[in-house]
Amino acid sequence: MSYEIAYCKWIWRHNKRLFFTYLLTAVTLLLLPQLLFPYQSNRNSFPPLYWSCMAMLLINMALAMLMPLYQFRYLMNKRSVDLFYPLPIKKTRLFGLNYAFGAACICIPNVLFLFSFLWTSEINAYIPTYLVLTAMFALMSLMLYATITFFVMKCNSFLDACFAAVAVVLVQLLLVTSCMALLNNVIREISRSGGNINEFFQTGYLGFSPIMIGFEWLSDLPEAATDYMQNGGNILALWLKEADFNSFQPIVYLFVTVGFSIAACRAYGKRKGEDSEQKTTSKLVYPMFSSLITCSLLLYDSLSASFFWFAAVLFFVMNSLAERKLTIRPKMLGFLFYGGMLFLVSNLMIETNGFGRIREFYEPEDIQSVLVEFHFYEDRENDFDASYETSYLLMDEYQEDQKLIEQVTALHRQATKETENGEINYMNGTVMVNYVLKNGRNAYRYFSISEREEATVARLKQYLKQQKYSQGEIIIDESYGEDE
Amino acid sequence: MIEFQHVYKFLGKKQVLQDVNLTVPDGSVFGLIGENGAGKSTLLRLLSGIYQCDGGKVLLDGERIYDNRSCKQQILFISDDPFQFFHSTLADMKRFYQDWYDIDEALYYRYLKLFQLDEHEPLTNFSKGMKRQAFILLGLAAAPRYLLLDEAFDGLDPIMRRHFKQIIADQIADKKMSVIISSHDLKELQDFCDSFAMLENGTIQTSGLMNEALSDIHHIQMAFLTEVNPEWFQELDIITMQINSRVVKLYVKGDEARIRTYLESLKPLVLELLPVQLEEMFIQEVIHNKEAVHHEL
Repeated sequence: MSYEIAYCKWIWRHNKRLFFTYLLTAVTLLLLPQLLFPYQSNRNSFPPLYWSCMAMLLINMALAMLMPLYQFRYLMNKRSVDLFYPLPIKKTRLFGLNYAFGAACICIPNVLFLFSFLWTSEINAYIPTYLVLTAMFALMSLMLYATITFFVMKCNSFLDACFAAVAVVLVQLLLVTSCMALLNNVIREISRSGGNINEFFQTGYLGFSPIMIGFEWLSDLPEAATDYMQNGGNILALWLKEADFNSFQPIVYLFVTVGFSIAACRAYGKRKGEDSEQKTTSKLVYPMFSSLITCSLLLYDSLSASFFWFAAVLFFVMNSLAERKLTIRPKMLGFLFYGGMLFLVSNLMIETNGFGRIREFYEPEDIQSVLVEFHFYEDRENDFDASYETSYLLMDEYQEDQKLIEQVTALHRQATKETENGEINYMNGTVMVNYVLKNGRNAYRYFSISEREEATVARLKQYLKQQKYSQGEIIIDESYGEDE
Repeated sequence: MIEFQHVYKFLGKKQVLQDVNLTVPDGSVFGLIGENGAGKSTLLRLLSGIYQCDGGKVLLDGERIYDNRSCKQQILFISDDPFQFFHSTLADMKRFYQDWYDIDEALYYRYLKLFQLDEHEPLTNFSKGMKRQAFILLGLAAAPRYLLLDEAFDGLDPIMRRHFKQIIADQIADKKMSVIISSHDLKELQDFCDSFAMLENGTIQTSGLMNEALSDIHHIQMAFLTEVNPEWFQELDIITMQINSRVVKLYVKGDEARIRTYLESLKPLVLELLPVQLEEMFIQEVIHNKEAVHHEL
């Protein structure tokens, strides 16, 4: 054990100046937002420590990327391997100590952040939320750290290790962004009158990227804070609901962290002394990342030729970086050919309506409640300049009135069908509909109505006038071209 | 005692060591000689636990060395181009080694004075020879059971080499240290090593005690009345033979008395047996092996 202590002492002695510099930077970055944006009780939009929390997320993620490179840089140099490998310490312990130091560096800003609660008395109600956020950010950073460490172990040169570290983060962001873009393109194509990803697909793909989840959680915080300011209650419960927090997530992150840590340790154990400064040949580095990055880009906009060329050039650049020379192989061309075929996926999804998941219309029996807003453009003496917009804010809360639902869905179908067929000559107005479905999801639709729907609209208006929930007609703007 | 038993090592696809069998006795200076790329440094890296052999075993007192803490504790490897931390000084490196090896402070300062090195000067400002001295100094002050030195004399001036040899001799006597040295400077090794191994293309060509090996090879010059016929020497274990009309130069292995008796029976006009240097022996062995490969092809 004395050699392990000796190694810890050496790590500390060797890194203490850098560590203190880092600590000072972290403290400054964490406290600066609090000094620049002090907490104000009337400030609903941003809860206290919001910006510090943002800074902490960024510090955590940056460290998760940098620490594996810093701690294991000695593996990438033949001369330093000659110094460290003969030391009388087991390889797995050498790995463990370096790994633990990196993990400690990641966790320290989080601990600092927790201490910073102590001098901000106004945030008492927020403490449990920040505790959960801090713990989750630390866990997510450790997951990223473990993942990057594993891939760094597979690299033989520092340049390759840097590529792997950047690629891990980039692939996560690209996959999420590309999945969203692909689904958005498909939804836009199928459902012309609106619709969003959450309506048809779960946001599980966000799980690919801890960074995006972190930002998503933070973006939900102000809304929860506003709710808390207006209605009171428990800010943690409000945030958990707003963020759609799944208690299964920490378990998954922990599992991934432990899994990658073990894999990284095994990869370190299997690493040969002669590997350093050699070409990185592991299929888990260049082949995997260049393929994933290219596929993500192709997914992003598979029908665009310019995107295809960009993805193809980047693919060759990444492969040339792996070989350290410009290389074009038949295998690469084959990959790009099959990669290009990804546009078939978009087409297939469009043709099959997202494998039957994406629906333009919902049947009245699928709908729980509805909220409608009409905007009519009424013409005064056929003079556009004298026209004005009338809004019918017919209801201020969702209605479960079955007849209303039926009439709205009928109008929706009729208007959208005409838009698709290009039959609209003159737009009479627009309708915005929010459906709450019986399966718990929400759907938002926006469509135009023409004179052809006049009869349907008139029937609907007539019906609404008799309903208690009807708020009546409000003229929003009567001054198109006229000064009142 | 260090043993290599049927050791094979590949670096990438290239076979660097092939069926190496070697024993390094304790308390001696062991020289590793061979051409560039013969596998000397690989052998030292296997011994220090940097590399793992692809076949066979590298043992210290019967225990495998690779990833074996107790074995590695007894070995200190100084590579041909030692690594130093960013902007570190000799004092910093000493502190690093101190955590792992029992550095004798008195000895360290004695050698520091002898080598006239500034321990607070960054090692990057040292010349190649000074850097070499600095690391050898650390290795000697650490006094491990086995000190492995790759290209030990590289960059050292003659005075330093003399100091260095003297210190090693003292250390072997005082602390029962063994030194394994790889070097191209065969003249330096000859009067310094007790035993040696000659590597060629990843295999051990010759090994054993230095004196015995040198006394087993003979450099012979002979002159005859008539043109020399190579068939006359077929009875001998010839390493190389150079015939110039009536004069012949031979490098022959074997017992000196037997060789002399045989050659005298050929009635030469002149017969001279000259002492062989390690460098000569190395060159002749290499030439002999290359010619053998040529003939096979």
